[in-house]
Formats: sequence, structure tokens, C-alpha cells
Amino acid sequence: MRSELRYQESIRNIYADYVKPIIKSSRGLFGTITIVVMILMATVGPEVVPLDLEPHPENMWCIPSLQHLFGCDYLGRDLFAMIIHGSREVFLIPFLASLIGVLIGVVLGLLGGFIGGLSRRIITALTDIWLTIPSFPAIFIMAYAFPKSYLTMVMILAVFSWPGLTRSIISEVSSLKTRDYVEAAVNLSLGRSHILFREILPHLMPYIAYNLGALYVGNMTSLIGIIFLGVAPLNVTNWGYILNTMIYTYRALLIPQATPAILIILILLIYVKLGVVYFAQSLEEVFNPRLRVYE
Amino acid sequence: MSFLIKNIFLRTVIIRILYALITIMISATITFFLIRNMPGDIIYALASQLAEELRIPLDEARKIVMQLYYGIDINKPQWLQYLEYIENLFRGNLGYSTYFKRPVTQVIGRFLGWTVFTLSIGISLAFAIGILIGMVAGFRRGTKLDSLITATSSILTSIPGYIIALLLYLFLSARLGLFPAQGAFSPNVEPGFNLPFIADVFYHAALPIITYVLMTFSGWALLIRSNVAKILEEDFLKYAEARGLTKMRITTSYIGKNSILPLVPLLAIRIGGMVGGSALIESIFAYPGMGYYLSLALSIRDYGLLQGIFFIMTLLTIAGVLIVEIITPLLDPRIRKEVRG
Amino acid sequence: MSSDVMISIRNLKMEYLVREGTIKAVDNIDLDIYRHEITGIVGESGSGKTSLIETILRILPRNARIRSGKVILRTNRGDEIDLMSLSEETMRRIRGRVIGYVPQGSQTSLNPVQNIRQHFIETLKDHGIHDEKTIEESYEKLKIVGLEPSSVLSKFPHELSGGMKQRVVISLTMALNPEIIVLDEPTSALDIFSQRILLNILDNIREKFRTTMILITHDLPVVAELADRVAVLYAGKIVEYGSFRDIFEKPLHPYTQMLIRSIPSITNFYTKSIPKPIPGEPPSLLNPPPGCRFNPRCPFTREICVREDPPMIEVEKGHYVKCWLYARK
Repeated sequence: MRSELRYQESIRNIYADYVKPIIKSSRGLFGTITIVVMILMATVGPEVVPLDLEPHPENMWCIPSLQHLFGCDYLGRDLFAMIIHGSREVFLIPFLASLIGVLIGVVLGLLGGFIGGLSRRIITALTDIWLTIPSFPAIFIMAYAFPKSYLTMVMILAVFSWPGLTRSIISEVSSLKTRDYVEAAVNLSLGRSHILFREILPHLMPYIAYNLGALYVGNMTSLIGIIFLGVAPLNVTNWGYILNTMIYTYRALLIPQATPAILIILILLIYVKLGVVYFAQSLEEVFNPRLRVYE
Repeated sequence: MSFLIKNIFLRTVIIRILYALITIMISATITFFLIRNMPGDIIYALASQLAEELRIPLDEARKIVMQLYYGIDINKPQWLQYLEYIENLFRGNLGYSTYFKRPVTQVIGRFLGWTVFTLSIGISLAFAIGILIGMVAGFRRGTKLDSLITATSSILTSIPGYIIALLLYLFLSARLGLFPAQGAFSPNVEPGFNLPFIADVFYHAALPIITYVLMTFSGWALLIRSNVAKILEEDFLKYAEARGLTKMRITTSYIGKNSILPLVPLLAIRIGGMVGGSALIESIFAYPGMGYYLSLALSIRDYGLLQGIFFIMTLLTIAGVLIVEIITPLLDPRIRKEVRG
Repeated sequence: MSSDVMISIRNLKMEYLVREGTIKAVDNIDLDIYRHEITGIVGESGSGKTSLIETILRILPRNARIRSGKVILRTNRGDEIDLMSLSEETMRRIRGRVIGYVPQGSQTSLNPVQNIRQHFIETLKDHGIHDEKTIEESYEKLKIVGLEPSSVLSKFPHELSGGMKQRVVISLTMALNPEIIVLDEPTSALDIFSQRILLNILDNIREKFRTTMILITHDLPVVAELADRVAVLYAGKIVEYGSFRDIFEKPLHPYTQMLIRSIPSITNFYTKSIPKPIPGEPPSLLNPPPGCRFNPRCPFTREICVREDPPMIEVEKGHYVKCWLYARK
């Protein structure tokens, strides 16, 4: 009985502390809706919307209509379906990459910040060196070099995702280490893991939230970017590939009828990125006031 | 006293340069092994082509190609090749471009300038415009103008560069024909220090520069705005006013300096991102800079050129970061203290 | 004690506009500052001390409104001007040059990105002084506060200790040889030794330059040591004003009496009075109620005190008090 009450109470707490503030702000609402839309697009979408890759020359560059919500491409294929199907690759790969990047970043950051001393100097040096390698060209080249698969793409993107977060975490943790309440916890022999999870991790959540959002958007840009420049995609429905063939093979930029198609893809990309960024921002704000309670 | 400062300052400069050199070495190494092991044996293709042309055996043709290619002897084991590669790097030999049939350094020399040209103008303009707009927003905090600037800026920062480039190209070049579609200058204009040429160059560089500016200025604006808002609450402003200092001085020496200086280190990180981003932007505008040739080299599998360009890009990034890191303590006295400790 | 009034404040009213209403920080203040004297303004935190000075100097934040009042300044040369009526540019020239201000918390009052020399130079330049000689001479002011110019001028604020920064600020304020300087809580952040040094410096300045001074503080012993005249500030109003002897030997207002009794004294320690803290809390200046502001904490409060604000009465020559105990209705 009591555990049931506690369970209900904790759900109410999660709602009040996390969900409500996010939904209350207009940015948070916009972001959450976008995320929901994205998840639907990637999971349910491809099951519901049939993909027809057969060329229908009579429909070339058709304008958006009820039949073809986003219009058609250069071969007369339904753009809406292609985009829905491509969303899996476009959304999922950067997400996994960012997740792994954040994980590595947090682990390295905690190690460096917490242990300090030599390991901190080594990790910081490593991070600095990594940061000066131009990431986009490197990703570009590596994408060509390694065999094509989901895993390799995720790993390539992840490899360049971790440095940013590591830096902030190391500096945060180092300064937190000397804060009074941490020292108090140490003195009370509360154990390293307690300190880690209860005291330090909540302070890092805003950075993590912000970085997840920024990385996600950045990785998506990189992914679409390299495919736009010519790297072979995993599916022809990859949005970058659609843009690439439209613009380079079929000179869509110069064809007036093609403008809606291009614009739709670009606007969709802007919308998705904006939504993710707003969501990450409101998440960051949610974590911040909680920290003030701690302090 | 000042000699002591100079001494420690010099020491940090040297450490920074050493850092930079190590970074260069590491990225050169990665580049080498990465590209060396890429699929697609173009060497074979080229060698067979050469063998046919010169009527020499395939093996010899191979040797020649590898020699020209990396400036190395193919028969040696890979790690020796690596050492020769490094040695060549120090001598300034970046390898051979199979597409252009020239040493990479020659090829890069021709178009490096365009990238540096557009990037430097773009980055500086973006910084300046961003600061101006951000300061206006910071001073008029809470007003409608401020909300407008903040909202627009946050939306703009989320739009990736290539989308801005595509949109600009679509509307300004393809649609309205206001700007040229490709190239750094028109074929019918005489290169040189004459006005028509310079005007033409700017005409062609306009869209890439505008893209760079639009990509980044909003980020600076938002940062400055929050800095200004913080600074405006500072005590030293009140005391400056109480001493009867002019408004101009307070705005520049007090508010301006204090809000802009923390941003300078961020400029360093930005430069790295922009050098990489230039690949995408230049390709869209067919602007013959390093980024354009990077993707070109990749698609035609000209590994020598590819390696060389990537190396130069890394070099540029490191150089940019280095310059900023050296300048920052000179500008901001507070950082000098950390440098000392 | 001179009888020459340098600053004459009449009916000065200033309020801050906030979301909940208005904060009447300076509520109809009349005050005279006498030339070549040290006037102490005493009050608790939140009583409106800093607001008063910021109003006189017109360096108020954006949400402040000066509702009425005159601040007549009679300079040493004989000019008579109402500070409230001046243009911003004229006021700017007076700030620092005629009236100097040493703010509270001088630790954070210096510009972190420039060194001390630059602070001096810019202050002089913005007041029209460009010649090398005068600028060099201004550096000598550092000696008054016990600092060696050659070692301090090239330093940046973060390279100086808190005490040094405060002394730099004092010397910087003196650089333009102002006729009057206002010091806002100069001793609050200091330990007892630094306080002593500061008081000696102020005494020095008074001796050497005969500068008129206004000393704002909640620290009564400091006032006791330096002030010629004392004004007691409570809730944005002056409740008692008189010479140093008047205030300390014959305090009239209940608040002043309690203030004096609340000072721990070494001589009194074992014998007579145990220091009594003043009960209650300082009033909020937000949308204040009518009547005397002190009445909630006053042991002598009567019915009229709640209804009406008492007028200022001159009980004896030069000794004024604002209290229904002395005013006739």
C-alpha cells in the first residue's frame, strides 16, 4: 500500500518537476511537439506510408496536392513518402552518435575532473588536440574510407562528438570538487559513488542537456552535409541524397517547378533542428532551477 | 618586473607552439594512415594508364606513380613510408595531385587564397555585426526590439550553413540572377590590381561571405547580449559614472571591453568549425576554394590532393587557434594572471 | 564648526518604480551640509542612505524617479546651483570634479581590464585635463592613502588586495581635488586594523585639504570619531539632526537613543548598560503606511504616531528632531 502511494507520488513529482515546466514555456512546447512528430515520423511513419520508388515521369516535379503532400521529385515519385522513410536514417544515426558522444564525453570529463592531476592534464590535452581537427572534412573523408553501414556512420560521427562536452565537464567538476558541500560529503564518508550521483551529476545535467541538443543538430547537419556532397547513403530516401540528386544531377535549383520540393526539404530540416534546440534549451532550464534547490 | 612578465609570456607562447606542432603531427599521421588505407586502388589504375602511355612494365609504372604521389618509395614498409612522408612534410612537400598532375603545394597555392579571403572577411564581419546587434539588444533589454533581436537570432543560429547557402543560391542567384553562379571571378575580366577585377572578385565572393555572416553573427549577438546584460549590473559602472566619465568612454572602455573580451577565445574555436564548414559552402556556390577542391578530390579519388588539403585545413585551424590564444592574454589582463600561475 | 552651508537639500523626494508599487527611498528630506565639516549620515541597511547620495549625484538606475526637491550647491568659489535643475552634461562635469564619491564595496568599483594609471588618466581627460604635468601630479594622491605610485600605477585591479583597492578608489576620487567627497560605508568590509588606517587617512585628508565630507555609515563609533554633524536616517527620512555632541550626549529621537545604547562599549561593558539591540525589523519602503515610520518599533508610540507623520522641530539651536514627543499638535 505504502509503496503504491510513493509510486504515485514520484510520478506526480516527475510530472511537476520535469514535464510541467517544459510544457509551460512556449519553446518547450514547440520542442516537445517537434520531438513527438519526429518520433512518429521515424517509427510509425514508414509502416503507415507506402514507399513507391518506381519512376512516374508523368508526375515529374508535381506541386504539392492532397495526393502528393510534398509534391514529387524529378522522377515523379512521391516526396512525402520518401521523406518519411528517410527520416529513420536521418533522425536515428545522429541521435545514436550524439548519445555515444555524450557518454564518452561525460565519462572522460568525470575522470579528468574528479581525479584531477595528471589524468586531467592528459585528457585536457587530448581534447584540445581533437578539437583542432576540422571535424566536417574529417567525417567526410572517413565516411569514404570505411565500409558503409549504420554502425560505421554512428561511430564516425560519435568520434567527433565527445570533445566539446568533456571540456565543460572537466572544468565544472574541478570547481565543484572544492565546493563546500562536496567536501562535507567526503568528510561524512558518504562514498564516492554517492557524491558522484547525488551531488555532482545534477549539476552537470544542464550541460549534458544542452550538448545533447547541439550535438544532435550538428551531427544531423554533418550527416546530411556529407551525403549532399556525394558520400553514398545507406538508403536512397536519405534526405541528403534526395537533395544531392535533385540539385546536382537534375539541376533543381534552376528549375522553377522544383523550388517547392527543395524548399519543403529545407524548411523541414530547419523545423526539426529548431525543435530539437528549443527542447534541449527548455530541458536545460528545467535542470537549472533544481540546482538552485541544491545550493 | 616587466622582463619577468615577458619571460613567462614567452614561455607560454612556446608551449602553445609546441602544442600546435604536436597536433599537426598527430593529424598528419592520422591523415596519412587513413588515406593510405582507403579502398579503391587508384594507384593501380593510374599505374596501368601510365604503363600504357610510356610502354613500361606495370611495376615500374607503379613505382613512379607512388614516388610522384607521396614522394615516397613504395617498396619500403609502411612505417618507413610514413617517416618519409613526415620528412617531406617538413620540407614542404605535400605530395602529388594525380588529377592536376602537379605537386599538391602548387595546386593548393592557387586556391588557398580564395578560402582565406572569404573566410577571414566572413568571420570578421560576422563578429562585428553580431557585436553591434548584440550590444543594442543588451542595452535595450526587455524592450520589444530586444525580444525581436533575441528571437530572430535564436532561430538563425539553428539554421545550418548549407541550408542558408542553398536558400541564398536559390533565390539570389538562380531565381533573381543577382549573383553569379560559380567561380571566383568572371572569365572575361583581366586579373590584377585593377578596379574591375577587384569589383568582380567581390561580386563573386559576396554570396559565400553573406552565408558565413548569416551563419554565425546571430551566435555572437546572443553571447554579447547576455554579457552586456551582466556587465550593466556591475559596480564599476556606477563608480565610472560617479567620476563624471563621458558616456562614450563608459560604453567603450567599460561596457564594450568587458563584454567583448571573454568572447575572443570562442573566436578561436569558431575558426576551426568554419574552416571545416567551408567545404560544404564552397561546393554549393562552386567557389574554387579549398573546401570545393576537397570534395572534388574525394570524388575523383585524388588522394594526394585530398591529403594535402586536409593537412592544410588542419594547419589553418591550428594557426587560427594559436593566434587567438596568443592575442587573448595581451588584450585581457585578467587572463594574464592565469598564464602566470 | 562653520556656519557656511555648502549643500542645501530641501524637500527631496525620490522613489523606485517596481512591479508591486513604489519604493519611497528618499521621502521628503531636508538637510544642510556645512563647508569644511564632516557630516555623518547614520542609518540601518535599507534606510535609504545610498539612495540619497545617488539622488544627489543623479546616478540613479532606470526605474528611479526624482519627484521633487532642490539640492542647492554653493561651491567654494561662490557659485550657487541647483543640482536637480542642471543638464546631464553639466551634471557630468560636476560629478567627480566638484563632488567626489567613494562607493560602498570599492573592491568591485574598478574596471578589471585597465590598470590604475589608465583609471587616473581617463578621469582627468574626461574632465578636460590633458597636460602631462597635472596628470603626473594626480598620481601623488596615492601617497595620501599610503600607497607608492610607482608600484601601484601599472597594476590591474585583480592584482591588488581588497584594502589596497579601496585606498586606490579614495585616491582616485581625490585626484580631481573635489570640494566635497561622499564616502558610502567605507569601513564595512574592513577588519579593525584596516578601519583604523582608513580613519587616519580620512583625518589626514580633512587636515590637509579641508575637504568637506559626507560619511554614510551604520557604524556609530566611526561617526563618533570623525563627524562634526550627524543626521540620523530612518526609512528614507531624517529623524534627527544635530552636532556630534547633540546626538551622542543628548539623543532626542527614540531611534537615536536606541542606536546609541546598542553600541557595545569597553568602558560600559562591565558597569552600566548592556547593549540593547533594537527590536523589530527595518520597515519596508514599499508603499509605506501613513504616520511615523518608526512607530511599530518605538517604545513611546502613541495614537497620533500611527496616524500622522510628525514635523521636523528645532528643539535647541542646530538640533532638530522629527518626533511627536517634541512636536505640538
